[in-house]
Amino acid sequence: MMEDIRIYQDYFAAVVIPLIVIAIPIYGMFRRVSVYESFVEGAKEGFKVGVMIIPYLVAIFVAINMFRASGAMGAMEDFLRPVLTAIGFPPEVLPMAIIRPLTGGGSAGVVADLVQQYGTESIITQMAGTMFGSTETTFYILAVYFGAVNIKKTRHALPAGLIADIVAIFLSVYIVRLLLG
Amino acid sequence: MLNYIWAGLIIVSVVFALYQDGTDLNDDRFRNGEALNVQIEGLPPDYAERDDPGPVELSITISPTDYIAFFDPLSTAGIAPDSDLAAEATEQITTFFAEPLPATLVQTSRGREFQITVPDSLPAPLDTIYESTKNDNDLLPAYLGGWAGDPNSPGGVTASIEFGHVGFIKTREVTSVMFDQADNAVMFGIGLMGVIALWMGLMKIAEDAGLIAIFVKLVRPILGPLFPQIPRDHPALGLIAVNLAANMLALGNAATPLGIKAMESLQELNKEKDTATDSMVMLLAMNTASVQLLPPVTLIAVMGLAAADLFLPIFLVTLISLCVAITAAKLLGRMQTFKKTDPMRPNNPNAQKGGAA
Repeated sequence: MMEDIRIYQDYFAAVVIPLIVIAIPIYGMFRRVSVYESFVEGAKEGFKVGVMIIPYLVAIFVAINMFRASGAMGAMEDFLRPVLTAIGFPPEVLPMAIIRPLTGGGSAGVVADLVQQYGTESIITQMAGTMFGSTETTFYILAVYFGAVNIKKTRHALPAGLIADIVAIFLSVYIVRLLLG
Repeated sequence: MLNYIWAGLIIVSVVFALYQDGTDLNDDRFRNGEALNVQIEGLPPDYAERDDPGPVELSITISPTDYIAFFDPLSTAGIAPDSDLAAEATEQITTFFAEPLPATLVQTSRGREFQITVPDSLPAPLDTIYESTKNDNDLLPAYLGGWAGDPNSPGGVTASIEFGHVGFIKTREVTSVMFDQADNAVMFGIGLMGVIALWMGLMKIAEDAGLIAIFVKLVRPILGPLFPQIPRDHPALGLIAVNLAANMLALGNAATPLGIKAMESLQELNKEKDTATDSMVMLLAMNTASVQLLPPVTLIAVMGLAAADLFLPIFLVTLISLCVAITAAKLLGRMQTFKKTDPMRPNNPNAQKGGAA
């Protein structure tokens, strides 16, 4: 049963990107969008996003790798390992769980750092990537959305958002282990 | 919060590195300035009388027992003597020093210097000494003190050598990592731009083709029960639907302005302008845990093709966490603490004019 699900997940992963890549232009042409021009316009935006993310990458790569090189990361992982292993949580993913609700660019940096440390096929990277895709920068959204309309008393917005984040972070670990582990 | 974490990482790194280097210096782990006795074969008999010593090819034999006595690597590594680990470590060191190490003896500004060719893996703490002092040709330098014995005898002469001075290893490493990683981050970021541009180009087509509208139709019917405070025909519901649909497709750039518009529309209904209504909290909770049909563009750029594996896990995780967010927002809203601050509660004394009646 589980093995079947994993096989389907594998097939799905193989076709999902090519399907998106043909479905979008087909739908676009059907809706009479000038697909080439739209693509170029969107791609231009892409470079802005690319440049925008670089300062975050610098901040996170430097801080995390200094932490790693000093041996403090290893010491922290060893210290927390018994607790984290008991709940099935790899200590290497911990930086992601801490940083994710605080900064989008920064947590993208953490995923990028894990890609460089462990490769894209490693379960550590896959867990962190799933966390990144599944949760939002709750603090940022709270600040932007409520700031825009001058709401100061946020009531239960932060607890509700953080509860969802915590659940998503643990689910990422368990579901990735189930489907890809 | 983020400020503390980020600064904390950097400060802890440097302090931790300094602490370890201080411990190493205090324990004299690298035996700076102390001489180790070794056997040297191939030293010319007239070496002492030469004015210009010139390069001499020879070989150095380090006795494992002397090495262990000199550096005491077992107690540094916290290995108890007479344990299995100690026997294993001793065995490794013995194997390592079984063969003589080839070296060249040259005259440098720092004295008579051996440049020793070493194999890939060295026993501690010589590995650290090597990493810290190796020259441009990846040779391990060591300095000749004195020697005694007959150079023609089969075992060669007994000589005392000193390795280079080693200190502040971790601190140096942390500093160099800082520079390397700043460089690496920019190169990595530039490498991402192509995929980001590709994906955002595709998403722009989707946006221009009105793909969001399809998902609005899916989302719209479930919104009524979730936002009971909004009248059925109010434009806020439509805006919320568009915001959530844009979020599902990870169109972050489109979703945020739409979300703010939805918030402004909810603010019109609000009776107490500085306090969030239940609807606003619900919108926010659904935004922080929105169902993701497509992962965000940065994830695809960072992980490349391997991101395809994550589409399904991300969809499943977000589906469940959305349910959790909705439940949490509803249940927390019913708690006394939050219920009594609801701006929409009946007979709210703080209700302002301009709110919906």
